Amino acid sequence: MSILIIIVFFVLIYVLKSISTGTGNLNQSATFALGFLLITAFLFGKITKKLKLPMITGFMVMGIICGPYFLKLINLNEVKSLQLLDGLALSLIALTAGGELRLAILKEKRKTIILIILFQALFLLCGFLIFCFFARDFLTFLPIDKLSYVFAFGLLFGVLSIATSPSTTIAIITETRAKGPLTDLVLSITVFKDVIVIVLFAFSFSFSKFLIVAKSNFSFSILLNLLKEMSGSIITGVLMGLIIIFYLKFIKKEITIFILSIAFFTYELSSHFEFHPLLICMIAGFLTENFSSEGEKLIHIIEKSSLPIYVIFFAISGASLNLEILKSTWIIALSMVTMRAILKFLGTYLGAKLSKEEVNIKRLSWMGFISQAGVALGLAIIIEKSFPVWGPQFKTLAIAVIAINQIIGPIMFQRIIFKAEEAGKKEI
Amino acid sequence: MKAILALGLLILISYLGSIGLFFRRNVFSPFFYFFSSGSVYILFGLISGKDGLNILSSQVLNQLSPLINLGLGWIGFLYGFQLENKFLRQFPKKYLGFSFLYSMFLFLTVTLISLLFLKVIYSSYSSFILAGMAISFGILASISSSSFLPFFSNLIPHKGEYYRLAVFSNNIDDFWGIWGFALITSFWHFPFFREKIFIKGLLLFLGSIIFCGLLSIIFHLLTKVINDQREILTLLFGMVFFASGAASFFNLSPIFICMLFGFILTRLTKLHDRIYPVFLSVEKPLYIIFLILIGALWNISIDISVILLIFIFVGSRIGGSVLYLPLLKKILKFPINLPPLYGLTFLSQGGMAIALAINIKLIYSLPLTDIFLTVALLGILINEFLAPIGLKVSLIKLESQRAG
Repeated sequence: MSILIIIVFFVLIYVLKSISTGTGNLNQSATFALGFLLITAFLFGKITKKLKLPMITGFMVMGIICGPYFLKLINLNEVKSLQLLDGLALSLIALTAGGELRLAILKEKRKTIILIILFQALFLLCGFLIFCFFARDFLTFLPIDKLSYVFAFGLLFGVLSIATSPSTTIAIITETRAKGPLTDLVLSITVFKDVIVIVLFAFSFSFSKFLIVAKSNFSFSILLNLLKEMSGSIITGVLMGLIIIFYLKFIKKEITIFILSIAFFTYELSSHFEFHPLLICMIAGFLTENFSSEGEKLIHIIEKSSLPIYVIFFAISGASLNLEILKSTWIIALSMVTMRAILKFLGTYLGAKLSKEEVNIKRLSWMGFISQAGVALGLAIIIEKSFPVWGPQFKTLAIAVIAINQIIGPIMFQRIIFKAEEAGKKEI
Repeated sequence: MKAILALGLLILISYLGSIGLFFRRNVFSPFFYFFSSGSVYILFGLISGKDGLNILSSQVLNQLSPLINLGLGWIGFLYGFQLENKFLRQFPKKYLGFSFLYSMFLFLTVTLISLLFLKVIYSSYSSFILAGMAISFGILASISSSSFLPFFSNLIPHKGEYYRLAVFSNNIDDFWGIWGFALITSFWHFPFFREKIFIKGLLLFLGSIIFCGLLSIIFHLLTKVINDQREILTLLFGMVFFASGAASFFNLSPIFICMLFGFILTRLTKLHDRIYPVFLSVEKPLYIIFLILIGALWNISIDISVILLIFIFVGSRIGGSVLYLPLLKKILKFPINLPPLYGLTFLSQGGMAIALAINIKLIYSLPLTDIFLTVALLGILINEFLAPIGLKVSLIKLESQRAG
């Protein structure tokens, strides 16, 4: 029945758009597109669930199908005007991610977490440096005679590859209601890696500028800024966490609206002060979970109202995937995706082995680190703007890699959750 | 300030408001009703809008317009879905005639008086536009608030026919108003209303009805197989966004389309117990956000002609309400024994009238549209303020009639 209804909606939107008198403006058609995406992506998610694939894969695939690069039922301007919801979605996801981190587990697994992050970072950085060195003939946009360019490219791509998407990770955990050592470990590492990636990026970015741009000195100001941003984010996150705890404990009214407004404010205010909204929300969620008795309540409330936001967030992500770029770079992108997966496996395996983790974690957990989204994309945009000679090509390639990873990542993560028998273990 | 921060502000205000909204107290206080019915949020919006602090600038409002459409659609859907057969069967059939005639009488009275004055005040404008404006005033005047009487129900001592008829009429007159507005948006369709009006109008009108029927059937089929409340909410949001977006895209009324969607759905489904909690959980905050956005959209400009029009709108509506019952008794021999000032029970106009007023502004971007909105909103706000006094006077008359 879902397929039939999706077809009906396809016909409806096609007919309605083609008989339009041309009086509707962009905002009105965006509302129309929003409703269409919500319904069709949700129903397609139900279908993919039946096929034992993640629902978010369904949301994204429907976004791709309807989006401006495939059937064009939704145009690029409509997609852009719908991205208003991204801030809300990301903040809510980050709050959930923080709320899912248990202090006791972090203490118990700290050695594993540190070692896996360390080896993943090491393998990916070295691996991509070597890869770019040998594959430099294929990277035609780089001046071959200047190795500094190849080095900077490899270094920055390595940093980007470390990142895993917390939003995808948390969406899969929520969807499968997973709970267990593997799930907890993947989530903890994903969350911490986000912070590590931001710090590493600041260093490598400064170093790459120093290598490439003539007369450029290694700049400490960027590191000072990073310190400001990080400390500001941590302080704001702690404050937000305290406000949430106070509210859930003493006021208790209209909690859904309160959480939504906190999510919006955090996102927008932090971008005003150039703090990291994801970090703020994760800290706030973490504090609520671990330093009060209100954590369960927080997660429950977010989960209750988050489904429409998830559907729209991932459907828009899908619709934004530029298939033209993927078409033109798929060979090199695919080899980089394969390379990244191999390096992730090696780093995770070694880290888990040294910390004497169980077999499941050693062999399977790397598949939980494949998905890539927001942070990696954001960093790619910074590179595009800062290195005009090869930045745009870097971004194009990064988008192609992120697109492939974002499609296969959720499927792989869901698979290991089922394999480790951790699905459905979380109480509703 | 970016749209997202503005939205955050809206949500926060709506939260603060929802704590106190519809909070009952046993007094006939116009001030208290004005604040607790939510009307005050229009003023919040006005202050936040481009004529005030400019937090909700034109650019921000543009980006938030899906929310305005959602608000219009949600109000329509909620209203249509609540008009269950179970509710309608509680009342005698003669009430339906009373309500329809009452709405028609008010519509005609206010339309004719408004048209007369509009032609005098704005003689340089085309009579086509003035007639449209007068008809819009008439439609707005025929609508009254369904939440007004339940709000004061503790203060109404004998809840006999007096109360039941008023409750019924307050609920049903919105229905006539919305249908009337749907006919106007279809047959007086902007921007092609000067050519081939009838055929295009008929197609739009019938197309809207078929579209709503289709959506209702689809949603009904889906609710049969989907049990999770989160999933129902997702689909409901999707349907209302889709329906209201489609209506706005074609310059039709989202209120009508979604009202009809809800009206048909409530007759198809037997799962009211599962659907009500879903949409009631988001009703209050959505309503407040909607009122604030309306306030922000409002380009207020007051001069002597606007004040005069407000006076005419409010005056002719009160006059029509009071005159209706004696006329009905005398001319149609309507078999209901009620006090002479019974019409004062219907002064409050509520969210539906506000929604229709803003919908008219969004559909018809014509000269005088901003003046229309100013008159309509101020008129509605004055009516909200006068409504508790009107009810009190009407009840005093009822008591003296009983004592006599």
